[in-house]
Amino acid sequence: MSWAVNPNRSTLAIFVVGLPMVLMSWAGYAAEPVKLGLVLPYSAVYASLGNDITNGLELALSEVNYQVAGRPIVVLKQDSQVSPKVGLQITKKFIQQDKVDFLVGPVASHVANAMRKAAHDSKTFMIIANAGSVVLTRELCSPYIFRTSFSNWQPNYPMGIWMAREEGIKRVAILAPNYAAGRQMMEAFKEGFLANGGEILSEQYPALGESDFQPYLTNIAQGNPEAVFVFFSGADAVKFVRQYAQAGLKDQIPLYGSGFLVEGKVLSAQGQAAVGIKTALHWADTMDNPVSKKFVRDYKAKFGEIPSLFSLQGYDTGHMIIQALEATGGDTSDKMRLRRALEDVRFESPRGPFKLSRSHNPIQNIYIREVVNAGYGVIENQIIAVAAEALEDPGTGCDL
Amino acid sequence: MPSRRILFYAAVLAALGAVPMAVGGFYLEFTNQILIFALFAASLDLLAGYTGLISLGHAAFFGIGAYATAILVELGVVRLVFVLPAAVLLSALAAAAIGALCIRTTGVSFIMITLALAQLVYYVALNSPMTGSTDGMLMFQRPESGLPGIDLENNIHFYYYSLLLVGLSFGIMGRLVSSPFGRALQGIRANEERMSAMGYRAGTYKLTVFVIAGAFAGLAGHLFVNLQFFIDPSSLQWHASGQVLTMVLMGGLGTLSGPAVGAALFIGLEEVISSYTDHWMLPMGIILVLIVLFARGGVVGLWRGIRSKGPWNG
Repeated sequence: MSWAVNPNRSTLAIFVVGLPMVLMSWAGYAAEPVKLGLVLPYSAVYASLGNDITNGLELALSEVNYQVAGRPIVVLKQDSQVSPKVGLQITKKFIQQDKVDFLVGPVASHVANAMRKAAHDSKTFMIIANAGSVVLTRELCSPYIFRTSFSNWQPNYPMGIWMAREEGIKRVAILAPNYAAGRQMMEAFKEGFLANGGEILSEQYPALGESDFQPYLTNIAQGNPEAVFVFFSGADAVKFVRQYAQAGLKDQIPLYGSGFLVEGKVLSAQGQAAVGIKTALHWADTMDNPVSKKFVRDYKAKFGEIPSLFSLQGYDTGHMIIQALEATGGDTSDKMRLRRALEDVRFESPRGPFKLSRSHNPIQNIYIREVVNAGYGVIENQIIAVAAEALEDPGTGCDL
Repeated sequence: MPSRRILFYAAVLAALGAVPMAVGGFYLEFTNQILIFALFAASLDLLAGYTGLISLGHAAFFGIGAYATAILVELGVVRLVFVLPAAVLLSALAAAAIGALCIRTTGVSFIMITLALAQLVYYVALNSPMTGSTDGMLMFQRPESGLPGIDLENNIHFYYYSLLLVGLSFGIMGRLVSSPFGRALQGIRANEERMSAMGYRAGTYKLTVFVIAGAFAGLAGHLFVNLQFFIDPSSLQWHASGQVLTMVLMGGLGTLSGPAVGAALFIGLEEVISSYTDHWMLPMGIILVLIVLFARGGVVGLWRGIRSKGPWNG
């Protein structure tokens, strides 16, 4: 009875019992990690892209020692196998079981489309580090979906215009893998190209992961086009460019593409077969600005190889997450606040100033790059023109 | 001891029925997936285990049930009373057409022709504009039950919907295999010539069970696409047919509990091993080899062997 009426003792009791509890909960909050769930391919046609994105992201996170606003950052990875079904399963596992704060990925547009509902419905932030599926920043845009890479429309639409106007090419054959990205990229190219007097002679869509392009190449050669425009990436790009050269078409019909065709490890594997190819993209590792040079240098020091565009996109994804978390003081529970912080992210990216459009897609320059022999056995992409400045995806149908 | 058996199944059903009260989110969906694949595997076992028809094309009917559901919902047919029968019926029809061709052959030819015809269905799914080809189809909503208070969008409601259909299907299949029809199927497996000589029209029996198995596979596909909100051609490729056959073999050919145990084991192992390594196929393959070598009746056969006469005699 006496303890209850003695204010000093009860205060002391509260203090003795209560303070450690407060401290523990505070420490518990401070130590609660921010979880990133990477849904990326580490096998199949886009394996190298998944690895590059992961490396780029880890480089950005290592710059802050995997620590933002007092919270450690934990990275979980699982192989999406470039399959929408597997990607969706991993996504659900990350959301429901691991309760990640951010999903990062994927590479392929059809995988991204399959993941969309799970991310949106569970209000889990999804930072797309490659997949350019236009619908995700147009009619199916979401407050929780952001993109640090590109929309499939972005590099291809200005390329269509540039080829017709600057190169004077009017008759082309086009080719891309038969999945969401392939079809969307060709649509965007046609939009720019046809409006400027171009004509499409043939349009072919081999399966994603196709190994033999011979029948398609024969078909192209028969139409006798002035140029060929393609989208391939990863292992498909290596096979296509090599087979194009082997078929003897390299010196007959100039090859154009979206820049993924000749990017990073893909370009090293293609070697001389890629020389002369002109492509459109939002960056090149030879870009002459201090941020880009520092990025290439740091990446090379850490991983012993030149970064690709995909590495860059992983790097920028890391910076975007870091900056948004800094802005909210590490708070991930207030979704609206975090969303605004992500929308307001601005930084100097190796590709130039990074800024998102209203529909959460980067606004960026599109460069024309040509694969050249730079001497000493080095084959690289050099920027020869700017196809579009500060290009914004129309974001049609998105009302964010 | 039929009464003990019924008690056992009642206990299993009760345990499955209690799952949503114990877990939610990931584990609920995980259990739901096991239920669906248990049905899919059991439907294949009607063919492979009971009738001796090893099919490597069973995923085609699973896929047809799934795509039929997704396409109908996309076309705006959202009432479950239409969607569910349509999915099952279309799978059964496809099974009738494919079965009519397949049952004329036996042995390796049967395996190859089921494989070939199912790949045909796969290529249709891969190239048809209706199915979204490689990208697959996203479902934006589940069908509407039309009953007050039952909303399939709710994952717990959907779990009970799956449990009801899977439970009913197992009940029907259980009655079927112990009926004279089921006995005849097992007779055909043992000796088709003798059954024919006794006056059984083996072809009719085989076609009938092929259609029934196809219909149950279609039902599993219908549940699967609703669970995932997604279907793509990889679900009806021959890999998928091989995977479900693996589940049957792991659990035990020629029983109904075997495929269910096999499905749970396969999906469970895949989940556990893949969280340690991306190369989950390797340990999985080793486990399968061990089961095939040392437990010829699968896990269920091993269990029964232990209970009756020691593990290595069965």
